[in-house]
Amino acid sequence: MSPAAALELRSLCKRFGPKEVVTDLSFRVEPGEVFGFLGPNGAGKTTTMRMVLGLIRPSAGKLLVLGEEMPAGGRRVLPQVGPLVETPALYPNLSGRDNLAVFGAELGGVPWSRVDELLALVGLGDRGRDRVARYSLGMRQRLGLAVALLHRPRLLLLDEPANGLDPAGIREIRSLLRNLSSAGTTVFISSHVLGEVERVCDRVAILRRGRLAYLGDLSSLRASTGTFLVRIERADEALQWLRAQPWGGSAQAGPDGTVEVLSPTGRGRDLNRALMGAGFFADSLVPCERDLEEAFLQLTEEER
Amino acid sequence: MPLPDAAPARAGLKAAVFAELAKLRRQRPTWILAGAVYLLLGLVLFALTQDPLVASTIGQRPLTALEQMLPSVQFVFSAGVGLIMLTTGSRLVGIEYSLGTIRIIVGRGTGRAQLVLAKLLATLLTGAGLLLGYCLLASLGLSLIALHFTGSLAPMGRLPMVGWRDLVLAVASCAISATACAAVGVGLAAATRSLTAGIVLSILFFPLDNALALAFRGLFQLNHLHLWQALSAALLGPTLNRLPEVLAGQGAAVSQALPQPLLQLPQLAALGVVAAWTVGLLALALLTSVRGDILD
Ligand SMILES: Nc1ncnc2c1ncn2[C@@H]1O[C@H](COP(=O)(O)OP(=O)(O)OP(=O)(O)O)[C@@H](O)[C@H]1O
Ligand SMILES: [Mg+2]
Repeated sequence: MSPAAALELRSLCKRFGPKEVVTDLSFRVEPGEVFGFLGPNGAGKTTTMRMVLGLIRPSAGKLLVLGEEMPAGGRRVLPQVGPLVETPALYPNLSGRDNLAVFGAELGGVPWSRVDELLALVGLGDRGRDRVARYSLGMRQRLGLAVALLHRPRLLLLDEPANGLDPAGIREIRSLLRNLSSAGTTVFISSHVLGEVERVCDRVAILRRGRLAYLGDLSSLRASTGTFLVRIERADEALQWLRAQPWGGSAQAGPDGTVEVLSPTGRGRDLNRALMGAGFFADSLVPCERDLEEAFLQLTEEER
Repeated sequence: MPLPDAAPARAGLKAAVFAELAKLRRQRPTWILAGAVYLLLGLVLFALTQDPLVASTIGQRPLTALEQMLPSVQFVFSAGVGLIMLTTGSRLVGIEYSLGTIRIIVGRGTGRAQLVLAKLLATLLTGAGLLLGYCLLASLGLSLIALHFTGSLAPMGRLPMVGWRDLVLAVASCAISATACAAVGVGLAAATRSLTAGIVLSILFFPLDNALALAFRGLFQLNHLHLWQALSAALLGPTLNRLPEVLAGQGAAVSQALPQPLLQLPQLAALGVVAAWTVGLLALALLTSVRGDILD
């Protein structure tokens, strides 16, 4: 038997009244993976995470968290999940330490040593005794992360954890997530900015209007353009010829004597064959790596 | 770098109650209110030392003196603990929705019904603690009053059985009304899923329900319909107002300043009214918490 997925969605749907916000969403997150959950504002990321946490009920489909079906298995499995959903929810009248103690009490209590260890871990070591009402947005985000880590979760569910963090903070979190992941924690992290997760995620799911628009690793997202930068003799003529082809309409002139063109099949050799057939000989064919941000925007913004 | 050692805790009812007590311990309004009630009780006890009827009866007829003192002490008790239960219960429930902390708590496996029960239990435990404190203060106060007027504790020895019974009934009726108040606070906050609405409605509940008793009295005087009597007997506040009398069967001292139901239901029926409200509000709290999406 293969080990249970940390998270598994099967044709998950959520409707709010007549409005379908998550549609037929299916994917698996493997144990120990750092999985990015991407999509523009309103794509349905938070809604999906709320379903994972049993806060809202799926309208249709199946949802398994650490092998247990939700929401029925929530009581058994959710104590092993560390959630940070949207803005961190904290008790503003209490200090950071007391917040951790109070949340920890819910799970049978945590020793003060663990509380202080966590505060140090998220960079709040010297502010733990201040009231949270006096914390900045980024400090609250850090404390929210500490709350999620309190009971050493097997699955960490972070909704836009970089909200309000400065670049140094983002970097610290990134290295923290890597460490957690290498120790076996599964990290599920949502963001509307690809750059934020690009350097930590093994795989991503990209959501557009509640539907899965892409699932896979980032390198294939980057590579899957099918466009090549061709250095070629008689570049102007070649360009004219290419534009006349049914597949070459989008060809354009590149920098100094090159042409940027989409291969008829997506493969370099087929493009080369076609060019040779027409009497154009290429010096070089370089696949264009798409800018990730660009790919993300293309996936999520068309027909908007 | 501390790393997971996969030792996840399990969220149980006991842990949830402890968490609520940990929150309560840090909830200043509750303790300010509790202190204010202690102060008020002290003032009432002091005022009783100036009461000529108490002064003239405590030596020879301690029961008469007790009956003179008990209603006001009992009123401060019930109203004070009641108000604390109302505000504490509704605050404890409402604050999670207002702050959004409900999603962290529920999202980490504390069942929604369990959370409501834990909040009710924590509120009741606090009430029990406060009640114990008030009992100690009241015993001390009443002993001091006896000492003040007679120079000894002898009046206590001369207090007939019925006096002791009335004391026990006073405490019991406080406990019952505190339980009902906690259910009102928790129920209304859970139903509205809001701190402000929960607290405001809880505080307005008894004034409204006592006002209704007066309204039913007026309506009854107009057309003598039995309906108004029946409705007024089903109200929670007025029934609680005559609780010591209900518990005693008859003849217990009850503060006449508060509205009474138009119909004096027999003991079991009156207790049934209180139980029905308490269970009904608790059911409301459980149903509204368990059902529906948490979107805050
Ligand atoms: N309670 C609700 N009732 C109706 N529609 C809702 C509700 N909650 C969310 N939605 C809608 O669901 C869609 C997805 O919302 P969601 O919060 O999941 O988006 P998101 O991907 O988290 O966006 P963001 O990046 O802005 O956080 C939005 O169109 C939103 O308006
Ligand atoms: Mg969101």
